Amino acid sequence: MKNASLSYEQNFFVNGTGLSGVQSINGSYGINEQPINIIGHGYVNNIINQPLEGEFTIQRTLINEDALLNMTGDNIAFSGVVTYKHGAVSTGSFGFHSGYLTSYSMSCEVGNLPSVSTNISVYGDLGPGILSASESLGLGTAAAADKTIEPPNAGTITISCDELQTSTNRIVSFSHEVNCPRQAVYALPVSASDTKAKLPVQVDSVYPIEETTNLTLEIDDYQTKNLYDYLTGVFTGKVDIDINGNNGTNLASFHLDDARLISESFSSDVNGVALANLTFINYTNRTR
Amino acid sequence: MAFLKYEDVLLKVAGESIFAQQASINVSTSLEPVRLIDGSIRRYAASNGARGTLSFSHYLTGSIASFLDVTGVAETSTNGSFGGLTFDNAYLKSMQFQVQPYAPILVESSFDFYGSFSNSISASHDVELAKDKYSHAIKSFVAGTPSNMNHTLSFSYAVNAARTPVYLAGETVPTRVTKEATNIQMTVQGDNIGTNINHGGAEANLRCSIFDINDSTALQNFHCSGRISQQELNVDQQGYLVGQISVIEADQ
Repeated sequence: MKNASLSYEQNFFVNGTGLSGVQSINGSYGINEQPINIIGHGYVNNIINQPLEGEFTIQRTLINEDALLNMTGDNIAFSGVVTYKHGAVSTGSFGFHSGYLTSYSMSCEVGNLPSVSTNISVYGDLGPGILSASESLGLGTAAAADKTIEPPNAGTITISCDELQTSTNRIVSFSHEVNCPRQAVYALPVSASDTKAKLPVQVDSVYPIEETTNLTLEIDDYQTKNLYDYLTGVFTGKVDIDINGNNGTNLASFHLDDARLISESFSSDVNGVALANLTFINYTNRTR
Repeated sequence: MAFLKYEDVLLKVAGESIFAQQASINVSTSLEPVRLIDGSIRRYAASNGARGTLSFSHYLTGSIASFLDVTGVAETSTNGSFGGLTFDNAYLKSMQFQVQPYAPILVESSFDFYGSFSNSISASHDVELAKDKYSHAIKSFVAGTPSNMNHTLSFSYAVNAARTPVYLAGETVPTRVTKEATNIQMTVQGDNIGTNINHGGAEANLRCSIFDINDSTALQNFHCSGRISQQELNVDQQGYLVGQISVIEADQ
């Protein structure tokens, strides 16, 4: 004992399937409790006063299809577990049974692979041994292996925005974030032995879902907008981001119609070229 | 020391230390200025006896004390002390609490009292006051809700007694404080209230059981067997359609 589990001895699984390209994982829970302070006595104990929830943050390099990208919608709960071992001996796991994606962000610049950051809210228990035997049956086996690795390159990433004249001005980096916060509803138990009451009755997406795109372009003939033009009508644009693997498989696509331009900056220094940075935001309502 | 910290402000009622998180006491007089026809103030005349309110919120740590049971107490008064001040002629008037998921349950009790304090403020404490059970919502539940209510978001229980002082001529403290109409009211919030109300009030028999987190035996059960007097639906932006029914029981 007194060994250590190195990064290559750890795996992260979503719904039983391994995820490649994971750079870091941070899973945590915190217990909200309040002190019982009694007049004429003082502190007695602490008592829980909020539902028990946890969080996971996963940083990943996009080298194939991302299983988490499809989890931004309604009622999509998934399980996740990070397993660790040293040598061939499995020494433990840390996972959750019911997680909901609350944000998904991707960023990329010329010369690098896209990096993805995801935040997950966990409702229900969190820790070791959470997944049932059937759910964890395939973990670590060939059947649970991730999809084929096919990293994108600068030539397989396309970003277009006609309003920015992207045919004549070069976009050198972008970031895109999908915020999909969740709202959990808890109810009281129906009996003292009702263990289901510890879990939320339902977990819903809070609409509208907010998508924010940030583009940085090297300026050729691009001209910024006038700030006061907003007062006569918000400037909107169509932003399309497509990321394909080196074999042509689509790894991720973001298409924003009528995205609202909410900030714009111009910068320049003696060692570089003139840059413009634009932030678009788009709201997606619930579809029925 | 100019100010006493809360640890040194003990509340005792009927000889028992109260496991209270908060307490307040106030007394007010009913003074009327006597104005003469020339506009001068002759004096201030008391139009009623001095009357005060003692209120405190406490955790249930076991069965509710008999002197806090509004439906069970008689007309008789009780006494107590608060931060060294002693008082008597206190009459239990109301008790209420609310239960919400994952929240501790604090019971709020209120007494009317008549007369004034004796002694002076002084530090007092009770080292034996610590308890190991506390009312909490994690196991507490209400039974008997309408069958179409699948999930209970919260409920509240309140019992109030009407107290009327009877003064004799020449006395500043009432010789008797009556206990009259005593009503129990429960409200339950949930996902579906259905069509439970009618002009005569549909019958409802609610029972709520209050538990400690770690115990399987209820600290106390409360009942409200009466009529559904109100039902409502509410929704707010980014919220849910929440139904509520109110049940009232005339106990006395």
